[in-house]
Amino acid sequence: MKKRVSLLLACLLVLTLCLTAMVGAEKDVVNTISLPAALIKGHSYDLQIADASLSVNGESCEGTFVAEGTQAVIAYTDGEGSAIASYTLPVVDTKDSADHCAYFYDPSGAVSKVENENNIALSFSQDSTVSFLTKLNPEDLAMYFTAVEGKTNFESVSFTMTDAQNATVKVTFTVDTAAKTVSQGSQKAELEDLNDIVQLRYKDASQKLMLGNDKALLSCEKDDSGEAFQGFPGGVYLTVSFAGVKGASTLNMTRLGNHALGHKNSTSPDMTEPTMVFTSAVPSTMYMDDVFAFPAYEVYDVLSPVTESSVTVEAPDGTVYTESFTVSQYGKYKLTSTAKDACGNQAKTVKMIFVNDDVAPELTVSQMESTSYKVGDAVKIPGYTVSDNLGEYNVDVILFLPNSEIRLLTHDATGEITYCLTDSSLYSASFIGDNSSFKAEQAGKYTIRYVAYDDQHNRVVQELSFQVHW
Amino acid sequence: MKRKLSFVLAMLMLVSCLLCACKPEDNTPAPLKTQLTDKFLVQQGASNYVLVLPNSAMKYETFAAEEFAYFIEQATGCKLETVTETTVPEGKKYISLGKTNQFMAAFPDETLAEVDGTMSSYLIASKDDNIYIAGSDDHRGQAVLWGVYDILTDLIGYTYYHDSEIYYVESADVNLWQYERNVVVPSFDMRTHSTSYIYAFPNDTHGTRLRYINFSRGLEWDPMTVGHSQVYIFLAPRDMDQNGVRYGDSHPEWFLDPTAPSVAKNENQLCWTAGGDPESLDLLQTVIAEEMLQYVMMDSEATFFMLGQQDTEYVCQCDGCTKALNEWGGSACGLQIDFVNGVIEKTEALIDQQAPGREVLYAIYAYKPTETPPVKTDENGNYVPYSDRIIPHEKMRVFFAPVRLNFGFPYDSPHNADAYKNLLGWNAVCTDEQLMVYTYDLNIHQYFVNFYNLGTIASHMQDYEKAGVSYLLSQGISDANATCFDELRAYCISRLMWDTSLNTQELAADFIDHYYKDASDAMQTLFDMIVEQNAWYLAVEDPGSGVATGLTYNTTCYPRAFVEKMDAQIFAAMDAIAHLEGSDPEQYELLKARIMKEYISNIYLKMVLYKDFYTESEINEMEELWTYYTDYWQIKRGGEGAALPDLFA
Repeated sequence: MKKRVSLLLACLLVLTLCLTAMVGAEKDVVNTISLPAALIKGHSYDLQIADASLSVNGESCEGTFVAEGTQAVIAYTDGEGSAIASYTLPVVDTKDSADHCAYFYDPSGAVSKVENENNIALSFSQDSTVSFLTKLNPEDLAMYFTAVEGKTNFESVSFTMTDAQNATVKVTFTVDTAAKTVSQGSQKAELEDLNDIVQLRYKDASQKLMLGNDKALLSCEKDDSGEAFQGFPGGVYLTVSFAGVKGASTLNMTRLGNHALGHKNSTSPDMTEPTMVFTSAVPSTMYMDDVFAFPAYEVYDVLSPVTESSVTVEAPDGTVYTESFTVSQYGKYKLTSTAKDACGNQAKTVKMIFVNDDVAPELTVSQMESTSYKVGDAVKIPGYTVSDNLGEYNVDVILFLPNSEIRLLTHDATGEITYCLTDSSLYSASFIGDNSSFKAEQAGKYTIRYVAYDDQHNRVVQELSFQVHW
Repeated sequence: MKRKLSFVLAMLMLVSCLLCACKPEDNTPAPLKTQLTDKFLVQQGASNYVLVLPNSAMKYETFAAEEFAYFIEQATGCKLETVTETTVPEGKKYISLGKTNQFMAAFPDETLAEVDGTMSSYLIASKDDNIYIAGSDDHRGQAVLWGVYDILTDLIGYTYYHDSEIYYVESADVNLWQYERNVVVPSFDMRTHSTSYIYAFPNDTHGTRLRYINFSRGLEWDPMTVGHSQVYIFLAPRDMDQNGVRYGDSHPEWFLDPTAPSVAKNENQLCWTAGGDPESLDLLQTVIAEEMLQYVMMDSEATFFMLGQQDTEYVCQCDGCTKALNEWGGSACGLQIDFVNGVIEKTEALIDQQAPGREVLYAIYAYKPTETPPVKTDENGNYVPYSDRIIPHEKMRVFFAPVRLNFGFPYDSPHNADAYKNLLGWNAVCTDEQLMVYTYDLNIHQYFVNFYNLGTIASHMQDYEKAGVSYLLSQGISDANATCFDELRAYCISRLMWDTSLNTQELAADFIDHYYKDASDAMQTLFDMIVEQNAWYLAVEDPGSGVATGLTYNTTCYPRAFVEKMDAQIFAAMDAIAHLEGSDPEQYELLKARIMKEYISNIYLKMVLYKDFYTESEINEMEELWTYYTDYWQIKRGGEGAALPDLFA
């Protein structure tokens, strides 16, 4: 009895200490700390949070640490050294990415995992949960699975994505095996035959759950707690839960993210490249003298640690930038992002950023020799001068006739002139004059429009009008 | 010298007087009028005027009164009463619509001969501050309705741009106008612009206010026989003769393909000489005439019945046809005319027996293989009918459908030399009222790609008017609503069909000003850019792109920088209306939807030509707008018969 009272007092003491630590803003911080269910041996982690000091297994840690041993005690203290929170996380050995089943962490041991050629089979006989241990890319998170005939003795399977930056933000998709539906919150959508591969894809940019063929199923407007959902800015941890289990069941997971599961007999433990996501905007168009700020990005790899990543920008003249710079050239800047994992899989993407000239050419048009002509008269087209800040320009001289017709008279490509007004394959003989004049065939108001534009279609227009009488 | 000067002055005065005197006799597309600044139709929101209808008013005369009263009330708040010719209240002034007693009394000598039989010509005149509008007894009194729209324009500035944009000046006072006696004659008596939206509007009101008739589902044209009906509707090889034998088996000489098991509009063709066998031809014509009689009896309202050839490139080339072609036919259409002349004679005889007094007209196509007229040139080089046999029956109407025309160039361009010859040839074969034109103002395969040909279409219309064309049908996008300034096109074409001398650039600018309001500057620039780019592309890069199946959607016609500048105008348009979002949200949403409708076209170009240049989030945003606004505007096709493109797969 004495022993029991001591234990109770000890528990009360711990609880009091915890409650004392968790006050004010710090309490919020603790509530939002998002950690994986377990760490992976040899993987590097940065679990630092703002306004808190981090220690791992009792040793102060300034930034990243590498998981070793069998468990890691993660402790956060405030600026005065008071404890904020402490977590004990198991460290799982995935055998340098070779043990793919180990990534599906199940502390209860209720789920057995077998890697097959094209899937990882999760078998269970009671309600249970497995957590995938790496942070996944929510931009295009594939969660493909097949139900196994005769082994679908469970009512539902749920996929819960937890924000890797805020544990309170979760979105769960629940597949009802009997109704063949998938739901999130109050939304529900029909699924096709569960005996086929069910291809669920969550896309964070649109916050939609899609099918593999891009058919939208659900739109995630609220998270599981009913709060407005804004997406997952820093990746997600995925858990898969089985409920209503009535007997021996198996679910084959065939794909997670960009990684096809299975490959038991592959020569390399990981043959899938990392993926990169820019977390700040990358412009497609910039202008002279803009400052280019390199975008922030996240790199994800389903199995292996990411060993290298970089973003560079190559200017039109070949100069390569790795830090912010001021735009000084017109043309295409090539932004290249690369990432590599520990198994040597490399991802590379290229995006063009256009630095567009936004200065229109300068155009001066001479006056008409006369503003009044008679039908049959030759009308001289006034000349023009044009220049552009980049040298190259186009000038279209377009005639608007009284009967509403429009005729291109000349096209000037930086001095190389196409004389349409003398092209007998375009216009009738009664119209054609020479390279600088045409014949007035109709009575009424004519307008000549001069349109000068550069390669970026910066455009300046001038018009002249004249009357033609019978 | 003084005497000479006096003579010159006297002559000048005489000429001047003659010109003035001639003016009322001229037929113009608009009334001749003067505003009376001291007299009012409505003053301080009240009026001493009523609308007068005949006791047996025709459908559109009644509608004309409703329209007049409705718009005057909208503009002034004053509700005008409509009365019949026998119930005009004492002391009231009036606007008389139709052949009322009041009209007959005011103009006892008017015979209305100038408007007889026409659908759209109307007489307008003022007398003692009353206004009179009268048309023919035909076509359900439509001409009076057009007259009402014209005077509404004078009185309150009424302009019908679209069903969601009708302009009029709101004022408690409306000055009266004095109309000289004049017959208003539009450029084309009968007009159709067949777009899906125009005829999707309930009760055709939208089309009616654009002064169009409904070709395929209206009252003027029998809906059953309209279109490619010869084999599809009238006589197919699988149809059974009196002995229960397929016509294809009993008379294989009647068909291009007598064995065809099915019937479609774009398959097969009748043999118009029945294999060169006069007896068989007579029987074929009799069978068709009996069929035609059935349709005439079934549709007591329609004036026009079609006997349209099949929609194929092929005609019969049997020995009979080849021989006839050389001997008297001149062209495949010559054979068709001769054949249909016979059908008409037989049908008319049947009608005389069974429905005496019934007046109907019969239309054929001059289209694809029959586009070339059956003509030859005389000693002066003028076109004359190839032979007497191919002169159309007086009740025949020929629908010249120049589907191969280059709509980017006028008729006198070398690009349209053959089509121009055809037009001149048909003008020689047909009388004025017999020639109709079926033209096209769409980019058949690319509904989302902007193009511009309204200017040349206007010039084509002027040529049709000179050729005496009585009915002009322009096929727009008829199987779906569409972007690419579709509303602007409908408005401009409507106005041009009424008066081909109007300037399309001015019409377009006026439309843009009223339809896009605060965003009109940006939308006008967008429109101008498209006009200019098309002018350049057509003349310099690909003159062939002007045909209705022309290819303009490529990176040459629409370079990325150009498309981005199109976007910039859309964004500028949105900026220009932003201030309305709080102050007038309804107007904001209306204008936004109109602007976004044009942005759909930009999205199409960006996704088809430049998808790789955009980030996933940009593409997602475009997908959202595309999905929302194609649904909002009920845009369901990417080209004729083609599904809405899946740009985001």
